[in-house]
Amino acid sequence: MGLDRRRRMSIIITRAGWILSTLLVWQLIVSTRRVSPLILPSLQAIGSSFWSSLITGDLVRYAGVSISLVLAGGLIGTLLAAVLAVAAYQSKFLAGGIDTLTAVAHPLPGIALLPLVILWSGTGITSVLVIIVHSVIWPMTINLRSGFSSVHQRYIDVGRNYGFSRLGIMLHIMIPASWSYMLAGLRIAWARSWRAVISAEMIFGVMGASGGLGWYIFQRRVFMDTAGMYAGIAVLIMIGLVIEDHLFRLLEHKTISRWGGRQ
Amino acid sequence: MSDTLVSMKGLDFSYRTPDGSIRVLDQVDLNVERGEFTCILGRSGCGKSTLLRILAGFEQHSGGSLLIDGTPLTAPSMERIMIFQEFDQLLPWKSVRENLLFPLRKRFPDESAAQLHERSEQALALTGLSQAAGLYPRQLSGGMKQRAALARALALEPKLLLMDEPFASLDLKTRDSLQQLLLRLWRESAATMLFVTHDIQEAILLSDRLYIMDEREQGRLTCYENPLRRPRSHSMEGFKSFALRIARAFD
Repeated sequence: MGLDRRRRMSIIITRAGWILSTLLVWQLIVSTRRVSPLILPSLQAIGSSFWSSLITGDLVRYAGVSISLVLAGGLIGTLLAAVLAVAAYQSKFLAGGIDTLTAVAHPLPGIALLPLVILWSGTGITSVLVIIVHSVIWPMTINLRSGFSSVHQRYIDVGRNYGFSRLGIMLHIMIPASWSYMLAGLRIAWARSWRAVISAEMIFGVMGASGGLGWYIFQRRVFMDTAGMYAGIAVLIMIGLVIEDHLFRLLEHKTISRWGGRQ
Repeated sequence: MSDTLVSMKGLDFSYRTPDGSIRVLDQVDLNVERGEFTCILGRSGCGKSTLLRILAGFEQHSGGSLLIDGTPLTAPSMERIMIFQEFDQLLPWKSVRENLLFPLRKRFPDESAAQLHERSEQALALTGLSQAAGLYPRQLSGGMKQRAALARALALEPKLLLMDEPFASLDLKTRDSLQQLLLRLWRESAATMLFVTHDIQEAILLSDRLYIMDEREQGRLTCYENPLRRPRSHSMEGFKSFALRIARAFD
């Protein structure tokens, strides 16, 4: 535990050190006044834009929209991936179809599907969700399936010995035993869907009550508010760091590190 | 009414492979008396694990009859619990205590959480694992893992315990102490033991009745009554001569 906390602290210190030095260089370049503030605004300008958007609640609201979209799409995508992976596990026939589908759909970037999705469901929330589900479902399906096939027969036998049905074995043995694969899948799914949602928001603009972070950044550019643009990007970075460096690491620490190695 | 728990007659089993099927067991007969300690002695690959897997309900036999308590065996059940040789049989994502409670909840669905907890603590105490209840399997030594597997199996109060060389991967000292523990647990519980091993000494130390499995004859079993009184030790009178007799039959 102590060791892990120290490791986490050292990650934070390393990150902070490098980020601060980058900002220092930035500020030095700005202070030479050789670069237009439309390209590189001063840190004060970015900071005050960030701060004013923060207190009006704009940034939080926009970021909230993007995050909840990713969560909703991620949940739908993960559930659909679970259905596909279970179906492929239970039936050789279906496995062939799901294999082919995954091979075809996985390499397609979500953004490449945008024109199609607009044609099907317009430029609303549904379309963004379709893009997110697409970014989540394939990596999750692939990881769940390799997770299932990695589960040792002995654990399945233990489950059978307890008289569990196929469904019971799935829930009580297969899914926890392949958790490390699921976690890896979730990491990829998060990364892909977060990128997809920001891009989609830039194209779709306001959906429903408010736009997301992508739209926020895009809007700032339209108004030539470069400082605001950077403030939006800074929020993107912060969210990414918190989720990838801390949330996933915490999940891993609470589970796989405790159980030890591959299951 | 006789007190036979397992009655196996003319049992056949074949593995299907892409090039046809391989007959592993051919016309195998076996009786296991209730409450007795039965050992099956055989070399690796002779089909003794397969026999246990059939008794656990993991594999389907292709011919012959197999009755447990007078009724045909159809599916796996918590009345017949298997203990494996490999250390990785506890679920790694559950603590030792949770590994016991998880099947207990299914085995005794009408009992309260406190009653189930009582059962698991008791089984852990009997196997000397009270201190380790909160640990995860990866934190245990091999011997402790096998103890935990034993605790988990006995807590379920099975009619029949199927043991597939559970001590074969342990060092000598740990094996000795686990053999003694197993004998004590057997005396204190009502379970019938079917213990598979390739170790003659172990089979003689543990068994009331001992079967030798012959792989040249597709698993045919020959029965030997164990003449030694309990408690037994390797140095007791008669141990060596019986071991010699079994060794001759084994070769």
